[in-house]
Amino acid sequence: MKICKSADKKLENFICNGCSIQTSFNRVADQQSKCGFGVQGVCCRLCANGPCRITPKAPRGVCGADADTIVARNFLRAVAAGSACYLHVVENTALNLKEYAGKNKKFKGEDTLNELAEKIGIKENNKNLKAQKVADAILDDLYKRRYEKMTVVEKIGHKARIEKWKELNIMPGGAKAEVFDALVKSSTNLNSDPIDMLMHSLNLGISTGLYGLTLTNLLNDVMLGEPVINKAKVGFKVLDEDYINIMITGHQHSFFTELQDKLMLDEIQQMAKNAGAKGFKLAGCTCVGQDLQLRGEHYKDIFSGHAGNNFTSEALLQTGGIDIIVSEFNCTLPGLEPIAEEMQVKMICIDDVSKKRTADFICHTENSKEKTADYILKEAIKSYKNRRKNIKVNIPKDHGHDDVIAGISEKSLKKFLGDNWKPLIDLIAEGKIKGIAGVVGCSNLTAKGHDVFTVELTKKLIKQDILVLSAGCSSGGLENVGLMSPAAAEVAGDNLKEVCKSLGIPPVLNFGPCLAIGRLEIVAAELAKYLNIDIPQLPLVLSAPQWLEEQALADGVFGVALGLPLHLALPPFVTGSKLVTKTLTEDMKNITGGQIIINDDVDETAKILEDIIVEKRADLGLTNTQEHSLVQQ
Amino acid sequence: MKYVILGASAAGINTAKKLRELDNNSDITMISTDESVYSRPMLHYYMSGKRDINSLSFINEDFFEKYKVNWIKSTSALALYPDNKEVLLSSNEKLHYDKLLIATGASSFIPNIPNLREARNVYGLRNLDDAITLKEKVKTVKNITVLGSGLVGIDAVIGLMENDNITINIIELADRILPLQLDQYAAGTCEKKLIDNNIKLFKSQKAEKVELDQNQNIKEVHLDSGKILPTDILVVATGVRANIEFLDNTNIKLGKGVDVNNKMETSIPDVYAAGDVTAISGTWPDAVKQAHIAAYNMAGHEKEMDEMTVINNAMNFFEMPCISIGEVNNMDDSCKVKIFKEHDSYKKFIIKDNYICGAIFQGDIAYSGVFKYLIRNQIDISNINKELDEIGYEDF
Amino acid sequence: MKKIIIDKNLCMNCLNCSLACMSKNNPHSNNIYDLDLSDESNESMNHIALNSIKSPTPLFCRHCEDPECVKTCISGALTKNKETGYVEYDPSKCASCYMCVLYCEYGILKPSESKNKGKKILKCDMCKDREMPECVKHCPTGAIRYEEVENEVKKA
Repeated sequence: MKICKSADKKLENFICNGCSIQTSFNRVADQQSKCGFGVQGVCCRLCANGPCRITPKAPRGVCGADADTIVARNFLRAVAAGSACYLHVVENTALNLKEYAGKNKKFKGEDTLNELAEKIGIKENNKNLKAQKVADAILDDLYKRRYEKMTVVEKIGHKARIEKWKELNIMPGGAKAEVFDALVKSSTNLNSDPIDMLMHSLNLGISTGLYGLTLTNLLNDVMLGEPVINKAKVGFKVLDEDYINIMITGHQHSFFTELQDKLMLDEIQQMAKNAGAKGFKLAGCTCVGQDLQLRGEHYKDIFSGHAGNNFTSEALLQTGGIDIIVSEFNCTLPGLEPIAEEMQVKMICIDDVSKKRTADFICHTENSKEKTADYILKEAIKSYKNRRKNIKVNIPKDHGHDDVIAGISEKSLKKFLGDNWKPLIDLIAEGKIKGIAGVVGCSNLTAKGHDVFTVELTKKLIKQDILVLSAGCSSGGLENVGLMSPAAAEVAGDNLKEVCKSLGIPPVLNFGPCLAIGRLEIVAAELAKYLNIDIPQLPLVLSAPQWLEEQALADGVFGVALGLPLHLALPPFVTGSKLVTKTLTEDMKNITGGQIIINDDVDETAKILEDIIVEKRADLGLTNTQEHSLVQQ
Repeated sequence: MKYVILGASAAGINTAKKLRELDNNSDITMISTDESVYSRPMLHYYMSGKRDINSLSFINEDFFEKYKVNWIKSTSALALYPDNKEVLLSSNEKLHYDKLLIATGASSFIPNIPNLREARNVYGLRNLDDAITLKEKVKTVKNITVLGSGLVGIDAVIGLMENDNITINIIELADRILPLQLDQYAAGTCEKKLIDNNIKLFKSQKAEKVELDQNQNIKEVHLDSGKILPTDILVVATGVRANIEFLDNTNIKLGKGVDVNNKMETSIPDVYAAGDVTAISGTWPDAVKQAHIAAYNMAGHEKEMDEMTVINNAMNFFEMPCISIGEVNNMDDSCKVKIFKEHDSYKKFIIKDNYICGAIFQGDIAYSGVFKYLIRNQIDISNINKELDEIGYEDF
Repeated sequence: MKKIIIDKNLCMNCLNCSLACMSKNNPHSNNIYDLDLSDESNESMNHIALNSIKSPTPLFCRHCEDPECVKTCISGALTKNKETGYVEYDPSKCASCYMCVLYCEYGILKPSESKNKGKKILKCDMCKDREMPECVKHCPTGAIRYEEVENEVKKA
């Protein structure tokens, strides 16, 4: 079978030689030829007169919509869908917090609860009631009508940005209603104004970023514990065949609060021992695995480590070491299904938004979390007993690293720096760190291959003394190729290398899941606040080089709303419209201060991003002392 | 084997080329009155300055070398001696042949109008010399009259009209220009373009006589309508006559041209003919096809013209592409006409029973070759559930 | 020699072949994804037409064995390359007489409608400087394939 390349050569080798069942890596070749109209965003399927495609000879669809309108509609729909996904996550997380608070259990992240309550303006001494009120404040916002502005935005957003958003009239009303009307707006023969639709996208980006990302993280921290910097094991080597291995996939960590608590109990572990295993382990895969890793310090004994990102899951399953998959959200690939069948792996879904065809569905609204956890454990034991006698386990133990620096968050990083951003700012001011790049988002298989663009770009950036922060599947890829281990300092430019070595950190910092892109943005806002400047003035750039899905686009427009430059290696299906493309890539600089940069060349991208950092440094009055700069070559 | 080809235009050149492809060893000798090879339908490009003499050629520079053809240029055939298998050349040389192709073409016909045949300033547009002469003369004159508005007449007008300060008159016997190729509507579109370019059109009128000055030059053309057109140069475009005078001493069977069968054989053994000299069609494509058939048979491969000949032509006057296939005007009561008119395009189909017998495309001629196939082969189109103008190769 | 083989039953009418052709013939385009779809000078040498039962039919130049377009060309712009078997077109020689359009009974040829191309013919060149024709490369269904066929010249 033909396979697509991966930046992770050991993984590539395992897929080539250790995987007999087809994976996404094999399917890329047969999907190589893309529809040009789809890629350019000029295919419109909104009505029965269509699908209409825009060509030089047919510049308008039957209804009269031109490329600009069609592209803007498609783009808004994609952003709305992505926004809906993250809003689903924050909604469930807030609901889970309310439920958790009703049980009078320990909040592992009580500090976060207090800080959040204070920010939102909730005065309540009872911690359970406080948590419920925080959750309610968020839920109330989500459910507001479209013309009622959400209240938490102003309380947690960066002040200068809030002013800008008000000026642009993109402060979001009720987040779900905004998504709802985005669908209305972009339906047949409704809105045809590309600029209006792009502004609506920005509005959706704000609720996605502040609620879907930022607040989800914080609520999770309250229940599951704040991230603590630690040394983590990653890669396929984390799997231990002597245990009953439960692989969880998705983005909603709070669904597993009770399961994790149960797994910490000796009597539960004893159940596994009775079945002939050494115990139960949670194996991390996809973003929720990164969430587990992020809070790994609180669950050391039951979490085996993070194995890999979205597109490694099919291979991970083929090691035979996984006994059960529990999924609650994306990125749970349909490609897992035939592999799970072949490897006799039980599949369970606990949120029907990610119901897989071959999975049992345990409805989380009808069953208590305890009951669900018990069911999962029971099925895990059953599956272990059934399958292990039939299935050969083949785990590539040489895949991965033992010393990934994990558990980085806005709080743990600040604490690491001595409870103060000054040391980081000083390093930037001195030019030891030229700037910061958030290389974030998904992994896809088409921007040069699995994690290839992400890894190559990251290497180029750190070589230029640009500190890279990563969150999402990108970090899953970067940690598996060793760039998040301290030894990676050797790959960095001399100045960054020196910084890393003296601090004992790698040049690429692991913030965990894609939700934690919200944490990067908190870091950005805090740095801006410390310097008393607006976010776009920071020598900070974003790249979601291997963006995959609609969620990434919703994330991306949040970056643009924040006024940050955002690079994408593959265009977000907009290039068929000159107006939309120009607005996103050029005019946006004068609207929010941000811009989308579309470039599929690693060297060019690194240069563009470095140039922006250098320019922003200059605007801040910082000199560029480094002689090996790309810009000066 | 020694092949001799008389003529170096479409038929002559293509016979030589095909012969060489079929027979790598024999001698091929080509005799031409012309001293260069050029494409007659492109002569107007020379007159208008769009092309020089070199770029009128339709063959590569290395043609004669590559195809090993011995070309004797600026030489005419004066007589044919079939018994000796010899051709007498204007160089007085007698050239032996084993197989001979007559592709001597045709010459402009000067109609029998009082004084016209005596006049000096009368030109055709047939040979490169004609084009060179006209291009020179036009610089010194004011009034040009073109007699006939067929393909050659319109070519001449297009070649001349970009000169400043001249008046061009066209005299046409029929009620429209390009009467053989177009109908009233399509012709009207072209006529409008002529008028827009200040060309004066005299339709349904006949030149009755010409007035000469003391130097035997035409100074006026008198029309049957009573109009008098001051004229400094007269271009005749009223048809051609096959160049067959040199065959007078033979008993070769002649009609309007050299008679041939469908193998391009004349009545004399080992003598073939192709192109305008046969007076069969007069179009470039037909000349080439006839040349290929002649070559096959000359080289001993029996081959016949396999298609029902359909009158057709492609035109591109004033950037207005036109295609005319089959019978476009004369139709009987059993014929139906279907017309599709759009802003810049006109399509007309003439249908007889279940097949199309003629079509005109003007403006939008895309993919119209399919209709040539349908007309030529009388393909039944009654089962095609489409408008006629939407039919394409996809339907067969 | 290699030819484009068409299986019209596999054609989904996505028009990728046409986009690929436009892109290949546009010096400013690197691929079908960056092609300017509002630029009328982008023209495709191939086209897909729906027949009377609405079934899409890819129509491509066949690079005929005995090409009518070459025979009828008055300028020498169209030639048959005996080595590659391809029918080649030199627009600089073309006199825009459109005889080839009239004589292409497969309904493939047409004049360019672009204002800046001098009314030349749109003629497939088989992407002869590339590994395979771009249209074939971008066909997602296999409806058009690039395959070795018996040497027709020898066969004749």
